[in-house]
Amino acid sequence: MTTTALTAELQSFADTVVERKLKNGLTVLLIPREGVATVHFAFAFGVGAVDEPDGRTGIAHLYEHMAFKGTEAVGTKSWRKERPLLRKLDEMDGAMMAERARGPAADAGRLERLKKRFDRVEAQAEKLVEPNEFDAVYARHGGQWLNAFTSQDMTCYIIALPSNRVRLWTAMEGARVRMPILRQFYRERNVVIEELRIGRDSPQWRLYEELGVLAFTAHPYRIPVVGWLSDLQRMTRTDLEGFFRSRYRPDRAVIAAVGAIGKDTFKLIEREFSGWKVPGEPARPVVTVEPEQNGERRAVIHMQANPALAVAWPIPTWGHPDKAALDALSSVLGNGLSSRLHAGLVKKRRVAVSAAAFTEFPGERYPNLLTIMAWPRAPHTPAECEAAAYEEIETVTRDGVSPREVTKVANLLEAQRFQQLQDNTFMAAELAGAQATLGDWRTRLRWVGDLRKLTPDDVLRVAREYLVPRRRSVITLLPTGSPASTPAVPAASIDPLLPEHPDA
Amino acid sequence: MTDPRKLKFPRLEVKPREATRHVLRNGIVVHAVEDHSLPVVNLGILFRAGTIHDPADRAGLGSMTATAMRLGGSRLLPGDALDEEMDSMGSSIDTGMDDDQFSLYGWTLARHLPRELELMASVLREPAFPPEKVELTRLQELEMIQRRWDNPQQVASLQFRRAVYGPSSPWGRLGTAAQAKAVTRDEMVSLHRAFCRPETAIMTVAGSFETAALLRDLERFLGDWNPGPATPAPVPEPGGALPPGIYLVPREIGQANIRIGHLSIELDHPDHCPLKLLDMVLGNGTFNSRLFRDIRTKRGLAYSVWSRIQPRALVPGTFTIGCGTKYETLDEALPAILGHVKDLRAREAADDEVKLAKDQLDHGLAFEFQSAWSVAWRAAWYEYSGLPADWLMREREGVLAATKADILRVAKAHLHPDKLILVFVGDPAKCRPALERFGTVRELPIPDQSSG
Repeated sequence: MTTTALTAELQSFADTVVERKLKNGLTVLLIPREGVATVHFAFAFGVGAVDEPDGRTGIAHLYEHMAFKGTEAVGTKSWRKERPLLRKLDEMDGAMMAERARGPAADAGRLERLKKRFDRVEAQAEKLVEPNEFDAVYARHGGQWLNAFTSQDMTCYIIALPSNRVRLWTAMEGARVRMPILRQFYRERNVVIEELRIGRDSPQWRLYEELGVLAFTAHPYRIPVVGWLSDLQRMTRTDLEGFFRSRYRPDRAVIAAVGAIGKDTFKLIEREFSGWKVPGEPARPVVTVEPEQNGERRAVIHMQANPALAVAWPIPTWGHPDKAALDALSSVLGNGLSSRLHAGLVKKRRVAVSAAAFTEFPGERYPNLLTIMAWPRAPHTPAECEAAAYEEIETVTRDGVSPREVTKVANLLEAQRFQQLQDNTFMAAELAGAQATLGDWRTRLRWVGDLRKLTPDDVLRVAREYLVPRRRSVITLLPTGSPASTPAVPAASIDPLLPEHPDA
Repeated sequence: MTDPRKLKFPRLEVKPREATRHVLRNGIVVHAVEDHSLPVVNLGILFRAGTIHDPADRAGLGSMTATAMRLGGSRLLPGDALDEEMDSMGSSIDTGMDDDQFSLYGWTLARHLPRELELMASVLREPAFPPEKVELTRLQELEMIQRRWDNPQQVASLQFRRAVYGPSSPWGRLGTAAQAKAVTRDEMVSLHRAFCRPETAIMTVAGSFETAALLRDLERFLGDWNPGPATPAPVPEPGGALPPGIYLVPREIGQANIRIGHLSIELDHPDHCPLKLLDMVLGNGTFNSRLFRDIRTKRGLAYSVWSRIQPRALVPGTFTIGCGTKYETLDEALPAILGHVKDLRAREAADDEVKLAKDQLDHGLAFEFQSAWSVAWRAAWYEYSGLPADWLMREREGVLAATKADILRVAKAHLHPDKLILVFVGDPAKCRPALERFGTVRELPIPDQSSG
């Protein structure tokens, strides 16, 4: 891909970003903002759910939870006393798991004895814990929004502090990347399982989960970030420690600080993190390439909810010359109230209450999907929405798009870029995340320039090339109790367009 | 290696950032904060209105009117053309009506600000309500009614709200399909004419603009909008709340969703500040609130567990505890949660938990001023709610001055274990055995929304 100049407004934003790199590969981004007395930190690691070993799905996200349990100093009354207890718990958990794995032959009496001993030791260990002290230390200094998130592509930790507390941040985070202690593991594992349950009860969440599973057969994007219940139930503390040691590395990490950046901000960061050693060779990145799809795939979800539809096609990602054109195509189809799907399905045909299109699900580090979603308006069905969506797509692949439409979506996407940068914590997470995931925080800013160079022919060409029936995956969510599948409705049976009112 | 717990820092001197207050020639109040760090502008405008004023047989009229104002566009620019121009600028204008306010929010790149203001003004002053978009609004509303109960967490929140405010009171009711079908274009036109008046408008603008130029534009687009006699509608009272007790909303899902609470105080209640501190200690805030620390961290029973005491300006607000846990642990989570409510009434809070909550608030002062929008919005919101302009500092001082004795006192006065409404959304076969140990379980089915 050619390197594109930034637009004037994005250039003047980019000019405010100071980029430094430590010898161990850690990247530091400093973005000063005027008129504020706070610093908003994001600490991003180029490790996400895609990097999980087989049978350990959900480990990246579970680790993220455990990263709040403290260090050898923070979170404990005595690490020395705590340590042997944690080992013992791991051993007993392993013994219980092995016993359970024998299935019907498992010795129930032994399991019960083990569980009793386990509970006793866990209670002893619990007495040594200073619960949530990691949070308390930040809170005591006025820290806000302590949190973290894990995606397919990366993991990012955030906190905002009063501007004179940078040293607190470096001390806390320096310890967190060097000597994290994964205490209270067995309780936190249950917390994450409850998080999974919340997700699985939500129609939206299920739609995404099933779409990943259907559209990807080989690439790890097929697995939801939270992982599978059975894997979580068998995850061990040792698994997490191994994952942390190989994956959390300075050469895959990025710190972004936004706000009141002082003269000593970088020095403090450098002093803390320059001694963070690179732990040997990096783990092998994902090498699996999703095989080309050669036939439509369909699946149905039944839930106690109103119907929904998702259709997705595989597309390439950053670094591919079609990236910008595909994003523009997606916006032409379903970004905004004037987009083709909204205008066609919601406003004109009135078969849907909402319709949208987007790229970069399930992630953006690897080839992903151009997805359209529609929520049918009763009594209309997902099948009617699907037929109507295909007609809208056909008008694009047949007649193309106008130059005005291409300019419109470039404007819209540029504006949305700024919208995502206006909150200081979001800005930190966005830039650190882009650097950790894509290797360059400017990627998305340059992409706006790429969008500006697109012609209607570029958009037409990618529409014809990528949005083909044999490559699509279709998920239909239907209310519990409805027939297992709905017959595809021919386009002709869709409601005739409502007449435009003379007043309109 | 440095022990971060031992680090000491001087108190950060924080220079408060203030919004400037302006009044247009017709009385519209504008709170503005310039911030040139990004070429963007956020704006908002509130009008005194609300769905609480919808006629009894027209629940939904207010929010449908607000939606139709935007979807239908204005005499200056009809709805579809407005959509097109908004997307072309990358800007947005969104309208909505809540219980007790009408709001319009806008976002734009700074270079399009004058046009954004012009379009905002036209949507407010002369919405066209074309019949075709009135009809589209109705169809959208009907589908939202249909989909209201899709997400179990929302089911829990809505059923709790209906229960505490009364299912048919203006504060607890939900519009039905029959009512949405009955709303006419004429009703929307007269409602808009009645509430969308400059004399009750309070505006917020934050971002990259010159204030003098902004005010010139606002005078141009809004200044000649003549005020009429203000006729504030009387505020209806909540009423007909369900009796305290256990309510089960049947749903075949993987986890029980819980809301527990009752009505609480109004915004101007003298116990507001100590109650806010109590809420922080109980479950609103850090990982170290009691509910988070016990139910989530120590017991591993829930991902989501929290408390919220939300006072309201016009009527009593709510005290709510929310939680989601698997059926097998319902009988451990429920008594533990109720235990925390009772404990707050039985004994004083510990010094360290009170200190932690106060420290976070105290040292977090800088965060009150970190975003131009939040500074400007807060000023507008205080004025809209009838709070004094210096409410931020008054409230902070009130919370910081509250003691553990105050917390105990307000817990006894404002938390009522015998008046709790407990709403559970979940599989009846799996919930009932655990719940019946705590009292009679009544079903609270999702209401029939087709009629009424």
